[in-house]
Amino acid sequence: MSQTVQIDPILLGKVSKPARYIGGEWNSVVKDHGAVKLTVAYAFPDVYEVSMSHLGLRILYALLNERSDVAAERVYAPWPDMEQLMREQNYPLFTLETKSVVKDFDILGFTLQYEMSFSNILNMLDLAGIPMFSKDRGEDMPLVIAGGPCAYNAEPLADYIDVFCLGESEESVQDLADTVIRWKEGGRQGGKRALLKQLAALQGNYVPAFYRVSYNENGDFEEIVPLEPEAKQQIDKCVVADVEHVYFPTKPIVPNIDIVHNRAVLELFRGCSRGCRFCQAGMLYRPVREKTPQRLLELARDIIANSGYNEISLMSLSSADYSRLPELVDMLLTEFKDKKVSISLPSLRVDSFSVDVAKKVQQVRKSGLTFAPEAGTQRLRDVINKGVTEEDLLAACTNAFENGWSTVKLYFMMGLPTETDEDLAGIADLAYKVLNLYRSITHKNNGKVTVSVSSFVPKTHTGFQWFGQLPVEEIRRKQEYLKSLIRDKHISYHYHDATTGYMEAAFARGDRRLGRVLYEAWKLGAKFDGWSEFFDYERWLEAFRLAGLDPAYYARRSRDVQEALPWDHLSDGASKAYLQREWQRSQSGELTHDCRHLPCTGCGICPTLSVHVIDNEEGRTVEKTAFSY
Amino acid sequence: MKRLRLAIKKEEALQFLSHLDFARVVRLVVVRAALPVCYSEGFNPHMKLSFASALGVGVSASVEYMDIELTDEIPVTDIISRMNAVSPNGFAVTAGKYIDEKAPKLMAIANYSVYLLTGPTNQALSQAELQTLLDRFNAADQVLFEKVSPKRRKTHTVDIKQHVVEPITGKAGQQQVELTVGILQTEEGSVKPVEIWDVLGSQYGLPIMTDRMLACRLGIYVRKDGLCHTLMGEEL
Repeated sequence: MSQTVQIDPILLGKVSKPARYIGGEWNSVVKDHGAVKLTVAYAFPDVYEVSMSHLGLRILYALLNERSDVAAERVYAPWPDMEQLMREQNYPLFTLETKSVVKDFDILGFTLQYEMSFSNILNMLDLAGIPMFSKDRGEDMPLVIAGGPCAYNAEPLADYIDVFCLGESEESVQDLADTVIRWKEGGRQGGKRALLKQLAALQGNYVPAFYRVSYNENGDFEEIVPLEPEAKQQIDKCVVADVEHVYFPTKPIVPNIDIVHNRAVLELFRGCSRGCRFCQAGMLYRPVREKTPQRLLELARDIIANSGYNEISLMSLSSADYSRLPELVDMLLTEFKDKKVSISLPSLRVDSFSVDVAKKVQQVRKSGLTFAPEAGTQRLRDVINKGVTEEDLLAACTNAFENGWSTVKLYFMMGLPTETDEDLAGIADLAYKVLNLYRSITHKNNGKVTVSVSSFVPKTHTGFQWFGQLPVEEIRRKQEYLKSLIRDKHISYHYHDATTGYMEAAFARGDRRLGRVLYEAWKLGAKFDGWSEFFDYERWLEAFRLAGLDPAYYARRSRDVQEALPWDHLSDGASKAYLQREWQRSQSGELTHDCRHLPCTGCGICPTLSVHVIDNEEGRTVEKTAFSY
Repeated sequence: MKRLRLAIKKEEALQFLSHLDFARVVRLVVVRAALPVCYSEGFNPHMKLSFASALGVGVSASVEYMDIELTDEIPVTDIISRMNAVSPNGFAVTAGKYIDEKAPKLMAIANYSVYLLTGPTNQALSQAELQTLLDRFNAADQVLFEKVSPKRRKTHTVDIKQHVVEPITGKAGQQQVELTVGILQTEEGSVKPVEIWDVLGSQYGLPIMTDRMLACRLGIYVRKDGLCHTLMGEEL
């Protein structure tokens, strides 16, 4: 049985937004722990408003709670004022549903969405009273598991997590639950170690304690060797072959306070094979698998009825690529015509078609449109395989301005491979072209262009995983240079401090030794590092010094395409040869087409994992010949 | 158009919501209950729904009222069961009544609220000591308080006794004290529960911390000529 925490409501009333810690939301699920066989605490290492906006954990939460033998609950990172109260009052970390202490759960599952949230994982373990290091956790402690995109480079967290789960978990989480229940019912035979061995044998599971890592005399990563027969040399991700019938929650938790994305969400499809070379999600979630418009309509109807939301967001990595988008939008508009439910598209493709769809769904509100050309010149856009031209952008903006929009937001990246000052000047140039287009179409001077430029962080499992990130000083110089080129009060220019991107890059391609850095940073007080008000660059540099490591080695070093990488054993199904080929093609600006409607490009994911592209337009059952480089 | 007045609760998980968040929660309940609710015209239609008061963060209410405009008259019992079936923890509809379309707004008539204030004591307090202290407050002709207005960054002097027209009663517990306080809103304005709590601590020696208190509103009324009437239009 789990102990519960009694929180003094008077003290709780003094922290900011106490409702973050109360639960009781509509559609949240409260179960009696005595009546289930397995308890799972799902943790998102950020504040409530961010955590509750994440679809993945909501899916797993609802899915496990469908089972009568499992109770799944939620726990998020307490904001520092609440943390202080918890430490003063000795309140251990507790779940929202039953206020049970997290330490008493069978499983504590973290989602790893961004590297800068890692410090919060350590802090949450500490607040829970759970020994931080996996090796120090006894038989009475929960099994600590983690999934999400950052699990593909698990090594910096290897000392803290018992099992990493790669890929989509809708199916595999059932196996996980069954395995743990069977082990518990069998009297926990062989202890946690035996359980870990059983889990290691299942697809997608990585138990880092079952491997030995070695480094060569230069200190470079050399190899990772399994130490147990169940531990595989390569961990393949789990993937749901057909997302049409996979579980999707139609009773979403409706928060009582406003959150970042406070609306109903409909997932149109998984995956994106446009092949932008900087994009990790584009590799990790392949292949593209669409749901049918009919299924989406059914889901939308239920989700809206069960939540009361007045907005439904059509989500995917690139929603405008949904092959039946106009048809779906018409169906939804008809369905919700008299119900005051609006439809929103979180991202637009850079073309006129997308604006046509936006026109349809945003019939009254003309808030700004956002496009992501990513780079300022055609040359560089070809390097990154962003199949977008200046004509596409101007056609999209023409359509927007002719239809009443006056604000356009443009997203770019800085510090991309082969980038020169000319490419940065191209960003300013595009912004001016868009603004002048507005002036010539509307004969008005009230247009607004926002240019938002982030600094590029090379990620694993992409064609750019070998690229050394530019030094902070060089990024700053580039930021200032671009600033000097934008001198119109109708264009606003936004960028972030480069130091966060530098630390993110170190962890994004880190190895197991970085676990020590995390620990030192946590001891120095690191938390909420994704929040600029809490991120402290000097603290992180100090943590690296204390661990005897250099962040530049991880972030800035260009890797040799032949060298062994600390994440080679964690596979999304793509072959390394394919990524090497992408890296080489990028240097000469050669494009690689999208395999969604054209022949296979040989990334290897479909043949390796026995899955295939499912696109309504191509015919849902047509399997194309796939190969792997 | 039919105008329906509902008696509702804001408790438990909802007591820490701001008025804005609470109002959104209630609107979502109305949508989920699929009530034929009226909306305003215009580009940004909003639901025709209004409350008797704006309850702050941390203030719960076992009685609050709301008016809602419906296109059709549906039996009140149906409305209550439909809304309660789709309400989150802490919200409930307890009663309802169709009222005249032209009846004055709740906000305009509600002028008297009764609160239960609870907070920890920082030294032992007997019931007799508490009673002596409250008697002194209750007998005073005038209790002046410097009210800070955060918007104008000015302070002005308020006589609390203009607003606390009934005697405060109280119960001293082991480590906490409970007070029942009625607050009258006059043309000059009102005072907050926390301000009365503060004055009893700072001016009357009640051994409490001025910032450690939870308020629960037990009732809200129309007070006329010394008599309280419920907002459902009945005399108490």
